[in-house]
This record gives sequence, C-alpha cells and structure tokens, in this order.
Amino acid sequence: MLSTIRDLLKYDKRFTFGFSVMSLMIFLAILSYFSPYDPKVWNIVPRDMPPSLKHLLGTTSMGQDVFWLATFAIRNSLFLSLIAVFISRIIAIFLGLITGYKGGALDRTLMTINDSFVILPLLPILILIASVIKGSLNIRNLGILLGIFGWAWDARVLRSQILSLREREFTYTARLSGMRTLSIILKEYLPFIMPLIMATAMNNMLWVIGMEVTLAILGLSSLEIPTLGTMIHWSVNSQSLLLGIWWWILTPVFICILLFISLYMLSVSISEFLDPRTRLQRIEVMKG
Amino acid sequence: MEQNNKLLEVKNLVKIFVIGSGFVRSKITAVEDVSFDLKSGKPEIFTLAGESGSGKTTLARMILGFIPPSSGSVLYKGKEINRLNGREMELWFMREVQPVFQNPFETFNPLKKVDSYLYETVVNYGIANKKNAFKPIDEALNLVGLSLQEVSGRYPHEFSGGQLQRISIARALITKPALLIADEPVSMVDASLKMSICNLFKELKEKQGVSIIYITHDLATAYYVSDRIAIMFRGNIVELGSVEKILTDPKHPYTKILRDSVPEPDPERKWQGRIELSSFEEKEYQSRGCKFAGRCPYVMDICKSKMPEDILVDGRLVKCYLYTPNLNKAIV
Amino acid sequence: MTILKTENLKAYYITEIFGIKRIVKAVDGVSIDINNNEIFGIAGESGCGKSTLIKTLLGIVKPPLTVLGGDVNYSIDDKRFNILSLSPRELKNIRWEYISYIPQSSMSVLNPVRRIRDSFKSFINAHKKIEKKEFKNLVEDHLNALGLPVEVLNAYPHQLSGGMRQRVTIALATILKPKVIFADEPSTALDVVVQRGVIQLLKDIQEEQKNTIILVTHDMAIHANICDRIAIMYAGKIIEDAKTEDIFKHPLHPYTKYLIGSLPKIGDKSYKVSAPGSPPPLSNLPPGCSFHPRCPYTTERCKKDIPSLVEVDSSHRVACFLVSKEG
Repeated sequence: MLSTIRDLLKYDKRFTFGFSVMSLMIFLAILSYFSPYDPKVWNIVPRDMPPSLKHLLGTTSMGQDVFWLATFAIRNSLFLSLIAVFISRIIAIFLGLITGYKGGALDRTLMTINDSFVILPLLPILILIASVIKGSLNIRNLGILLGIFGWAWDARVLRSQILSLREREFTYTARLSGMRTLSIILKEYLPFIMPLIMATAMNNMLWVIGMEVTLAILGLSSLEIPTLGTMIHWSVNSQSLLLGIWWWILTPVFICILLFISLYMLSVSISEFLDPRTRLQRIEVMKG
Repeated sequence: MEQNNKLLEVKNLVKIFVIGSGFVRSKITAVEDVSFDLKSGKPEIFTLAGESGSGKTTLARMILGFIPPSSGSVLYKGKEINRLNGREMELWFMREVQPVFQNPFETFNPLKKVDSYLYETVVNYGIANKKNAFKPIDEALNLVGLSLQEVSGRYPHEFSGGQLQRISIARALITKPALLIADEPVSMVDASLKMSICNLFKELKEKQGVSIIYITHDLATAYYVSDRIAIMFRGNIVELGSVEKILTDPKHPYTKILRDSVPEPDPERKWQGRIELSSFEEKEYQSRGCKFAGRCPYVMDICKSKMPEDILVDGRLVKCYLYTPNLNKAIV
Repeated sequence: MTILKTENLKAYYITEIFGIKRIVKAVDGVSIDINNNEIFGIAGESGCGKSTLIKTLLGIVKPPLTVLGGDVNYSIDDKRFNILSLSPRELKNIRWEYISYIPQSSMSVLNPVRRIRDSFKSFINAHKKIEKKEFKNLVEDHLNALGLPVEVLNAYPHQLSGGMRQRVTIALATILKPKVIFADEPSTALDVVVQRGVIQLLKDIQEEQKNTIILVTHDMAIHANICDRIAIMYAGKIIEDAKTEDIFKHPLHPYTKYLIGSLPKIGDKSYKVSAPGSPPPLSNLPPGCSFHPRCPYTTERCKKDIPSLVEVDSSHRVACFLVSKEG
C-alpha cells in the first residue's frame, strides 16, 4: 500500500497535487482542535482586521478570527462529506451489486425505485426539507440527509459494470469452481469495480460539499455551525466584498476551489491507477 | 430407477430463441430435434462439428445446464439434468461434468492469480481443505504436464495460450469428472502447441477414462482426436457416426462440401474445383424442409417441403433423402 | 523481378510506464525479397511479430512503434521508393492504387451506416475523379469479374454474411488494380466453406491481374494451397524462407520441422508432436538464437550468437548454425 502511494506520488503529478492539498486540509482540520477561539462565539477579537501576524487571515465583521474559523469549516465540511459519502456508498454498492448480479424481477423492482430517486429534482427537495427542519440540521443530520439522496445514479453505474462482468467467461469459471454469488462478487468483481467506486465516491464528496455550500448560502442550514458554506453565507450577508473585507469571503471560496480540484485530481489519478488495463501493464512491466 | 448404461443421453433436444419483443419478433431455431448418446464404461471422444450458426455451442450449453431447452431432455447417468433438486445435486452434476472454454485468456480473471481457481475448486467441492489442497492440485496439474510450483502465484498474462488452456483443463480435472465438454479448446492456441493439447485429450480418455465432447469447426483436429463425430448444420445433426468413415467417405452432401473445403497442409493436394457461396443466409434458418436444400447440388422437390429422417447408411446415420432405400437414383 | 525488398529491418515498441522502460522487439532484423507476380506467404504464430511487420511494410509506423534500422524499398512499375521516408501525402497517393491492404475484419473497412456503393464511391473518389457512368461500369465490371452479385452495392454491411462482407472488402481493396496487396489473416474468422471461397477469390485476382499478394496467416494449410513462396517468422525474425514445396517437403530449420510435423491431416492418425515449451515473449528474448531453449540440437554457439539468414539451396534460406554451417 505504501509503495503504491510512493509510486503514485513519484509519477503522477495529479496525484501529487491532490495528495498534498488533501493532506494540508486534513492537517488544518486537525489543527481546529487546538483553536484558541470558540467558533460559535462572536466578538472575541477586533472586527474587520486585515491579515496580520496575529490574525493570519484577518478577522470577520462579527469578531471572529478567519483562520481558525476556516479550520473548523474545513473539519466540518470534511466530516459532513465523510458521513454522507459513507451512507450513500453503502446503499449504492449494495443495490448496484445485487441488481446487477441477480437480475430478474428483483432487479426490475429495485431499479424502478432507484430510477424514481434518479429523477428527483434534488435541489428543490433539499431546500424544502431543509427549510422545514432548519433548526436541527447539524452536521450529522445534514450528512444523513445528503447520504440518503446521493446514491441513485451511482447505483446504476455500478450495476451496469456488474452486468458486463457477469457475462465474461471467468464468471463461469468461478461458478464452476463452486464459488457462490457473494464470493464471486467480492473476490472476482471487486478489483474491477474499485476504480468506479473510488471515482464515484470522490464525485459524491464534491457534490456533498457543493450542496452544503448551496444550502448554507440560501440560509437553510444550521448557520451557527462553521462550515465552508456558512462562512460564505455570513460574509455575503455582511456585504464583505462591498466593504472591502475580501479576506473573509475569499478564504472559504478559495478553500472550496482547492478542495474541488484536489479531490478531482485524486479521483482521476487513483481510478487510472486502479483501472484493470493499466494495472495489467504495470504488473507485466514489474515482473519484467 | 431404470437400469442405465448410458453416460449421457440427449433426446430430441430443441432450442428456439426469440429475438426482439412486442410486435417485432423473429424466431431462430438454434437446435432442432437433436439426439445422441454416450455410453458409460467405454470412454470416447465425441465431436460436434459444424460451422458458425450450426447450433453446436447452444447444444453444449444445454448439456452443461447453462440454458434450458425449449423441449427435449438431457439425461446424465439416468438423471434429468434440468430437474436436479437442491445444491447437493447441482454440485454432484457440476463435479461430474466440467467444461473447457475456447479462449484461455478470458477463462481466467486477468486481475487474479491463476491458482486461486484451483484452490477454490478443491475447497468448494469438499475435496480437501486449504491446507491440504496442494496434493490434489499438483496431481491435476501433473496430468496436463505442469506442476503447482510452476503455476503458483502467477497471473494469466504470464502464460502462453497453450499453457493457460492446460491450466484450465487441469482445473476441470480436479473434481475427477466423467465427462468434459470442450468448446473449441484449441482454436485460439498456436499451431505449434495445438497438438500437445489434442494429445492430452487422447491421454485423458485412454488413461483417466474421461469421455470428452469436443466441439469444433476444425475437421483436421477432429479427425485426429475423436472416435465418433456428429456434423451439424443449422441446428440439425445431418450425419453421425465413426469419424474415420465420415471424414474419409462423407455421405451427406453438406459433409462432402465441408470435407472438400478443409485445406490440406500439403502443396500437392490443393483444392480441386470451385465452390459457389451463398450471399444471404437468413433464409436457410426458416425453411421447413431440409435446411441445406438451397445449396445442395442433388436437391429434389421433397427436400424443400419436409425434413428428412435419419437413415442408416454404411454404419452411420445420415439425414438425407438421397439414401432412402429403394430410391432409384444413382448416388455419387 | 523484385517488387519489395527489406534488409535487416528493425522495428521495436518502446514504452515507459512509471519509470520502467520496456522494449518489445517485434521486428528484429528482417530481410525479405518479394517478387512481382507471386503469392508470398508469411507464416508465424501469435506473438511472432508478423502484424508489426505488415504495419512496417505498409509504412504505418506510429509511436510507440519506432523503426531502428533498415529501409522498406518498393519497386513498382517505374516508381522506386522507400515507404518509410514518404510524407503522409505521398503515402495517401500510393495507397489503394499501388499498395493495398485487406484487414482481418471487414468491418474495419466498411462503414456500417452507409451502403456498400457509398464505400466504393469514397474510396475511388479519394484517388481519381470519375464520372457517375464510368463509376458504375468500373465497379460493376469488377464485381462481375470476381463473381460477386451486383446487388450487394445496394446493401448495408450488416445485411451481408461475414463471408460476403470479406469478399466485398477484397473487391474494394483491388478495384484500382494495385500491384501489391497485403492480406492480414483474411479468412481466419470465417467458416471453412466460406474461407475456401475467399482464398479462391484471392487466387483468381492474382492470376488475372498478375500482381503480388502478401498473405499473412498462421494457418499453414492455407499457405500450402495458394502460396508460391513462404517465409517462416519466429520471435521477430525470419528463420526460413523457400518455395512452398520445399518448406513442406524439406523443412530445414528445427522449428519449421516441428511446425510441419505437427499439422493434422484427415486420413492420418499417426502421432503428432508439438514443439516443447512456448515461444518467448518479444519483450524478453533469450540470448543468441531465439529458438535455442526449445531446440533439441542446441549447441554452445546457439546460446550466444544470432544466426543470420543464409542461402543453403536454390532460393531456400535458413537461419540456423547447424544447417547453414555458417562461419
């Protein structure tokens, strides 16, 4: 595992970029535990101060240190996406694998349910739900909510991959070797669908973070919890750009952009690395 | 339980595929009224020969139980294979009848080590547990001229087609089957290695007592390897009997054309004469009479309206009106 | 009269993945001499490099394929050129009129969404401007000469059988009467009876147009039926070339002997032996003669030096120290 990461770091610039940025983000998130300021309290530091040695990224109009606020924001956004992605992956993988392999009536029923989720206009629905339960939409609940809605498309993608794998001859060989369905899926298909799962997980993460930002800007999530979205919300609400307090709004925006790009880079380089075709070439080359 | 000395009995097997759905459907009869037996006690290599579209692969899949027949039955050691109850019976059948596929590179998962299938087979069929698996695997590999040491820990692309095919055969042999169904096992293997696999099949028959159904379009290897042969054309068996007789002295007009079209690896025995090819073949599937009528140089009126019966001619069964007894016609 | 000649042609695939360089020696010192008005066969198994050889002879050399040495010299009518040094424009002019190519799969040539007639039109128009009437005559005469029904012009490729498609592809490749035709496994995917028709067609074309056909296939029986001369390729090199009768009746190289001895024949139930082991991977060739690990007559010299293709009899060349008594 470590040697793979080392290889990727050496040879794939995209992975290097993504990995370094993500490591930085994780570092900042961990840093938040050492923050001298409580992010929920206002007016603990002088307001509207530009970046200085004391306040690395300046302060907000509500008297908060932007840098430490950002560390909380990153931590919360990452947690959020982890929860949401975890839930949606489990549902997507479970559904995709079962329907792909079993087929028949089970496949048709489950896919009908799946497709109803696919066509749901997610943004309006989330806005609706969020406006109703606004108060209790903390990180955990938001994560669960987004997780429940984010699996439909990916389930279909996984299903079609399983469908094609099922027709390959080695599936027959596996069955004839006495392997049972679950065994076949885990041992035979997993190496093929890993790149897909990783790529869709990264995309899902991006979607979740983006969705959180959207909801927060619209004022629909729990606004006292510092996340990337709420930071943007508050800074926009307080006319920060107009007033020249650019450090307040640019920090979360810039972090968002960095996160998006690095996640994308990671997803692309990892899935290319895991892709069966390039993997084979590599194994061939390693063994001479 | 009826007393049965037949290893495999295929009775009036039919398979019709329906293509399309709703209002636009067409039926293709891939296999029509096929019957033959293999006797137990005397292992043999039986070839199903035919070109593409002859139905031989569909027939093989029905014998293996991969697809259900539209009508007719397949009996293995007296048991109807489409009515086997429960996992135990399923495993029994899978243990007794194993296939070998055409493409050795597709037979194995390219991302997994090849020996994983060997271990799985040993463990799942209860032959031994993982710790003691070495012996049965090594024995099976020795039968095909390899050893576990050579094969262990390596991926499919590290082997040649011929070696992979042998490993595939070894896997099939682990459960000590009585019948192997080999679908074009040498067509993707290089010329210089083909014969070693063919020799392996002969050895398996003679020394291990395994019967083999060998499916191919290559009549030369069929001649070399098998005892009996069934020539298939568009879903029917048109000639069935000893391979020596049928390939050196074919009776059915299709068999004759097939035999003459096989190129001889000998510059002094090139193709004689010429052949004409048909351009549009779909019509041949739908005809009610003998499917070869459209191309047959000896066609008669009755050939086009009614399918001929099997007639016993010189020790083999031929599906052709030319051999109707008391037919006053000079037969070429 | 020589129409195509190469001397010590070398073309390797050079790739680099994750810092590891890999060299596949697909064409490793090939010298051949092909004449006008003959059918020349190149025989070899999968992984011997024959497809790469064809690509190189056709001038289709794109990275990671690199030519490391040797020319491919054509001598057609009064034109003399090295195909590797032509510009893309010049190559385009040569193709189909002087040199053409029949691929293994007809669907690489026929456009599945256009009628056959349109495929013919675009091919011809790329080289010559002709009137509608002249086009009709040219194409219909050609199809008639080949024994193909004119109705196929109106059909789409999927409406035709595999054999008919392949024959139409051959008609396409020969309509401008090229002098050199490369056929890469033209009948391998076809049924036995159809295969006979397709190969028969190739022979008819050669007899009528008196051009050169270079037939590449692993099927020795096909070579026996129509080729005048055959070159045997192994691990990127030509190890024997001679007239067809000599290859089959008096094979000299140990590999060729194994190959000929292992061919099954109807009517012959005698025991056939395959060569032991398997061909070496082109990325990792053994030192010296590439066949030595499998050869029953290996000597010390065979393990170190590479034998060159030497003429041992009239138009019979072998690359083997034991036979050629080289040096």
